[in-house]
Amino acid sequence: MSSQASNSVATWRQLLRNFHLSGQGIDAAVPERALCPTTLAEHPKLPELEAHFPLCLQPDGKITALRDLVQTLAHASIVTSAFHIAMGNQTCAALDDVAPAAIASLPELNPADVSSLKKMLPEGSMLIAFHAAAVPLLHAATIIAERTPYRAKFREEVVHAIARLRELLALDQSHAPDSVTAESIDASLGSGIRGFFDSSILAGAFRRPANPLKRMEPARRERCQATLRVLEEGLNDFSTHPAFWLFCSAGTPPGIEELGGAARQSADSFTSAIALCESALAGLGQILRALRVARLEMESAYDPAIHDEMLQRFDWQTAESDELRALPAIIVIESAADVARASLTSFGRVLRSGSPIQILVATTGLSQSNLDEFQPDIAYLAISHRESFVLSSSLAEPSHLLTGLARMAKTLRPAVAVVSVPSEEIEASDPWLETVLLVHTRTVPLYSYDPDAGSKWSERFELAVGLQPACELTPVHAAAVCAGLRHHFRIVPAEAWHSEQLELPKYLEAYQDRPPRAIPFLWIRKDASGHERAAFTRTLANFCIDRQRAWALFRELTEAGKPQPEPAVSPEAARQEGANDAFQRVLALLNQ
Amino acid sequence: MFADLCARNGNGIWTVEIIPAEIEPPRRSRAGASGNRIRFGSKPVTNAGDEADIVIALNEQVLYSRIDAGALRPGTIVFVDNIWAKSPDESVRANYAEAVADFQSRGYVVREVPMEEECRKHTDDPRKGKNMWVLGLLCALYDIDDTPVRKGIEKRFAKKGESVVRKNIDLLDDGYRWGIKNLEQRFQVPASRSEQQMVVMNGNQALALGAMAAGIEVCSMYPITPATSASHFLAQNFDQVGGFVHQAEDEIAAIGFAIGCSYGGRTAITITSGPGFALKTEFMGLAVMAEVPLVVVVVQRVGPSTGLPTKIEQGDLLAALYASPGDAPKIILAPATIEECFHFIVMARKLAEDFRGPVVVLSDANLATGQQPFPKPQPREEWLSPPIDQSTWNPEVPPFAWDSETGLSRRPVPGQRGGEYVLTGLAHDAKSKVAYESAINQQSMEMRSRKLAVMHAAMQPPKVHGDPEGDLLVVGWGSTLGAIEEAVDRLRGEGHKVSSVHLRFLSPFEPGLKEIFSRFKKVMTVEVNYSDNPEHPYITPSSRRYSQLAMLLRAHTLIDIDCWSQVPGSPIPPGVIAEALRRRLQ
Amino acid sequence: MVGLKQDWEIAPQSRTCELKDYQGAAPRWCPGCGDHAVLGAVQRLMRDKQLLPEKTVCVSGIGCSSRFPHYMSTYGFHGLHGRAFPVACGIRARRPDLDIFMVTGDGDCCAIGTAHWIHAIRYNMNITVLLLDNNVYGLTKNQTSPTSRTGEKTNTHPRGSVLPPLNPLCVTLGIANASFVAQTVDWNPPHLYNTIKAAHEHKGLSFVRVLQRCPHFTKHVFQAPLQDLSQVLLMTHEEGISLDAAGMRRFPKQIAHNPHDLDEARHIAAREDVYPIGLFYRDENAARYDLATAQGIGKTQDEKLAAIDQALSRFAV
Repeated sequence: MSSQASNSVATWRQLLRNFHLSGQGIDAAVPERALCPTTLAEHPKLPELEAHFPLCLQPDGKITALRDLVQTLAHASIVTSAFHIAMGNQTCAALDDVAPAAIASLPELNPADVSSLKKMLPEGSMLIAFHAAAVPLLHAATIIAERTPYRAKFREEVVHAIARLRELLALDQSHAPDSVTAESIDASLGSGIRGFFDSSILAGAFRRPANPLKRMEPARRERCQATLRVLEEGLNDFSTHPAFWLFCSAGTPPGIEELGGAARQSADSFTSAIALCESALAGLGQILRALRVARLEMESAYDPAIHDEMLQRFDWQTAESDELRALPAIIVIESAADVARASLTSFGRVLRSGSPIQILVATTGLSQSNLDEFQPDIAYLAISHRESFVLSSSLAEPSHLLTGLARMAKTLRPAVAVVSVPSEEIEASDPWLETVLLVHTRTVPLYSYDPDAGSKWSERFELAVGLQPACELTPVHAAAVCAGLRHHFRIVPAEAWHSEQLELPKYLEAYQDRPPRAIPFLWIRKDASGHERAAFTRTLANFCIDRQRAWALFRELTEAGKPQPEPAVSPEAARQEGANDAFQRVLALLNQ
Repeated sequence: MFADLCARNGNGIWTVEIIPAEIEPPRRSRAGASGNRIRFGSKPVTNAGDEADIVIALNEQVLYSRIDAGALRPGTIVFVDNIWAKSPDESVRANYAEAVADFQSRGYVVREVPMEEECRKHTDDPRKGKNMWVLGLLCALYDIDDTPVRKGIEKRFAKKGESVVRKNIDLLDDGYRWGIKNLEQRFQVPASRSEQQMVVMNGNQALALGAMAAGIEVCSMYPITPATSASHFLAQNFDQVGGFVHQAEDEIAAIGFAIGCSYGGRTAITITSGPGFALKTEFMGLAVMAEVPLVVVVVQRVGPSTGLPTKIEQGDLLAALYASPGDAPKIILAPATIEECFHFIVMARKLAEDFRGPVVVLSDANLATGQQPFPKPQPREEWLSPPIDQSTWNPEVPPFAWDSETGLSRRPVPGQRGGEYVLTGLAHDAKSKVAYESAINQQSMEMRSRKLAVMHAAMQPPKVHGDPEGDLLVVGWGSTLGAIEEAVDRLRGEGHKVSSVHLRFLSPFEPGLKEIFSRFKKVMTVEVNYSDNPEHPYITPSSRRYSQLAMLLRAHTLIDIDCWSQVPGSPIPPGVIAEALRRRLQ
Repeated sequence: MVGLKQDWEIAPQSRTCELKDYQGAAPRWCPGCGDHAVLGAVQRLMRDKQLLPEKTVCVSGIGCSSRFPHYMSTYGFHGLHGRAFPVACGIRARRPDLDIFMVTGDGDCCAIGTAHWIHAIRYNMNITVLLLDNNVYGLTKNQTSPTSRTGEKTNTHPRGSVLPPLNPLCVTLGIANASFVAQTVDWNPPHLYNTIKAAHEHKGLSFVRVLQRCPHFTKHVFQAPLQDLSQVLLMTHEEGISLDAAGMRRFPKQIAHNPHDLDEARHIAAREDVYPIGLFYRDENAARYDLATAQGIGKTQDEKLAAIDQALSRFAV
């Protein structure tokens, strides 16, 4: 090595050390675009986009991947691609609209195939693409499918109670001595019979016999009439309910109205949701109270001495869960950033309220902010409230997501789903790969916390552990494929390679309590063949370690079955208005 | 389908089914005639008419049975299938030739039509195709647009596949084309569509729909011709209104079950014919004695005994009135048209409950199977039976609190606290306790009879068809309405002073009969049941047996009411009635 | 009550019925008639289960046995000879909320009413049927009954009846869909009560034949099994009619019989050497006709009107 060369190596070493610690410098070596780590290239099988998307949402609420629907066709993948392309940039589209264009673009299909294809496509379905706005649609569809039978049953009960009350009042009316008139007789005899009788004589005769039946006490009659009115009004209102209510502070996602939802924009969506929930529940409570009175009256078992007071104390919280499910779902959707920035307090209030509100929080990709600033782990926060349902999932893993959403739809507690969705940044080169890798590198752990599943942590918490390809993928890999984070990397030319540089696996092994004294790098693909080293920042390395420890923590908790997560936040603190306090503690734990 | 088509176009129609007693009588036999008789016209048609203008016979032998029944006259056009002329069996060919010659000698206009031959072009089994082919022929003959039929074919046979639909339409077209090409005559029967929505159905269907419309929830029956099809209809459709058809182990169980249901709070219906009613009479007596509401429909057929199950007679009137021990007064209604079959059931249930007893509705085999259009009824909530009342009953009001003047009372229903009583067929007092004192028996009989008098007081006199006075008044009941009025109209057209009255209520009678009758020189009934012909040997005024209504009216009015009747097993044509009236006028 | 949660289950208005609340007119049966015991047992059962008189119907035919309803304070239907079964079935058909007892006699059930008896067993509607069998027509003053023993002298057979008697148990056990067949005697109050109680609790048509003394006409017939208990065979089983230890000890002849064993039931029923008492046969899964007849109860007036209009529209032209 010439001294110039060794000088060069020394310079590089210095520059790299600077870069590693500060993230600045060697701007020339910044990768031009997202990197392709060699492990990834060699890695056998990450899931493909078109194996899972577009999703087909059928009118009955069933959601299947389009590829699965057409899998018996010889050209299943080509067909799926055609539909994917025909959808263009839309988040969602009606299948019937997209199908003609898609089929037209497949000249190689013969008519027999076309007709079998048409048979496989369920009528009236909606196609949903891999897009951030897909999550509210999937969630809404799931919850509608879950709640519709309860709504129908409840409605039927109310209709029935109304009919019976009307009958009761009509019977009572018939006990009155003057209820029999010539007109009532004419009406009841059948058409054309009027000519045979003088109904007033009949009426006179029918009024004569001793009347053994009393009329209801006026108090009871009033009660029945009032209850009937409440039920009828309630039924009217009920019919005007949308399939669900949606609150958001940003714009309404597409497809919401097609599903029957009513969207409301508001600066503080959580508070608005709580307000609507309270009023809807109050309204439901009224109908439920009236329903109970009706049931008692139908058995003639209403006793004012006993029941008046009990019914006064009645409210929606003593209702049966089946009845509560008759109410349309109340959904709030926000991005993680918005929640963190603006509404953490109201978010906490929703979780404490115990009201049946469903919250969807979208986290998009990895960006600089994830690494630099503190980002509260919303899902973890929600778990710390202990009595809310929490789902952490990803749009790149539809089976986990849909299963989780189905369970979320069943609960009447406050429920939070934090879903990793593709970012919409223009720089993002391959949103699918980015999102998939976040899952497979466990940067975004997939889990669910269901308080209804039991009283023990092991019953409530479920971690999806099975998503790991054979080789090691780390959060660094996830960052590597993000074009937006490429400034955390510098390509190290072959001449500057040095033993001070440690490749990632070894670096991670060496990292015990403190970072080792080495420059971590990642092997990346260079052009058609060959590979390069890409060094990266300490920030990124810390991030990687932090995520891996968080995962290990979850893993331990699942296996050990401890009754509580490490109480980062004591219950009292969490309930205080100063939520920021709690967040700092969480940060401290994660960054140790 | 043809009747439907005509009705749809706005013609009046009246149909009669011709049914042999066996399910599969031997073919080409005189007794095996089965078919349909359709009378249609521009105005509403009220009866089946006299002789046929046109007859279509699929084989010439069955035609003889119609000839025997007097259904043809000189000038009737007969279309006969000429396939028999080419039969490989010599005796068949001979019979055919002989028959055709015979028809012509009787004065019928015989047209030989290659029905089967043409049908074979489209189907291998012409027996199934001939009806459709003939339908096409009729459309050509009467110049009727067959589009509704084609639609009907498509709908009806859609399930069996396109080729079946195609075949039927081809047959239809073929018949039509043959008719256009080969028939010289055409007939026009102008039709006018009414603005009202109309329905077409037969009497048994009308009875069944009436039961549904009346809010009845249980029909208890035992199979008996010609009543069963009403229960079949209910078996298919009753569940739509929450109802149930019970097929009992015999006629007695059927009425017992129905009475049990009524006792439980919801008036039930039982549908039977003459022989079945005979078995039910003990329970009828119980229903009257214990004042249990019930609707009993008797679809009358030819008697006595097994008689002619598919043929019409009006022979059960006296049985309905009297056939149970002691004095058991009850309400008896007789609908005269298919429309009345529907509405009278609604009325029957109401009267049964308000007058607290059984109501008998007398229909007959003619109404049961004939079809006639009428305005679609508008069901009302007031027609429906009210929900079962379970309110507390004032214990001081006994279960038979007969109003001293009207005999009416309300009845407690199981579940009503304070109303507990033991219903019994024994003579009982107002508390339903067994009547050990004689005065109680007298009183309770008076009360049960009084109820009918109250109903009688509330009724209007019947309307007279024709002038309110004259030389002859004809009284009828049941399905003879149309034929009687048509005969009367003919005679009035000839200048005779004849009128008619048609009774719907046979117990109690409609009021004012004596006054109406007294304005005519002669009064007579025309009925389809047996009476002695006064011109026959041994039949004298003191030995002569009168028709059933005539007997009752003679007793009721003390007027020497005459009667004329026939029991041919088929409806009496207006011409025959007119002839009988003319004779009586002389 | 439908749909109300546990915390809403308040004590129903405390209305306790006492024995006298079930008693109607004073019975006019002869002193010593077995019918008194049956009446007492039924009234005690109703008191013990607190059945409401207004929700109970007693149906009967004609005969001494059939006077039963008059001596209860419930609703009653004292109908026609031999025709109690169809009426009871008709009441049950559309009133699933009532308790129905049916009382009949050996002439009422096994002679004139046989057709209805056979089919009622097959319908298996939820009714408790008590056949009070005293081997004679009592009310009409001493005629032979189908269950009279050969040689019994009556007014219609003064020289003794000629034919062997009908065995109502064998008949009933031979009918398809039978679901509860038992026999008891009027002079053993605990067994009588427990049999009627088991019959009432069974959901289906419970057929109980009660061997009943007629002190006037057939005093001699049941004298023997009354005095000599070895002429009675007590069927025992945990699913049969229970009797306490003391009660059981009085019966020298006992047999363990599983009431689900139909073949053995038929054998025991056919025995002529003893009077078997207890539960012959039970089938909880037999088809129930009253479940089918009750379909559709509760349709609202609006639903009915819509359905009627639709039915009429199918006939429109």
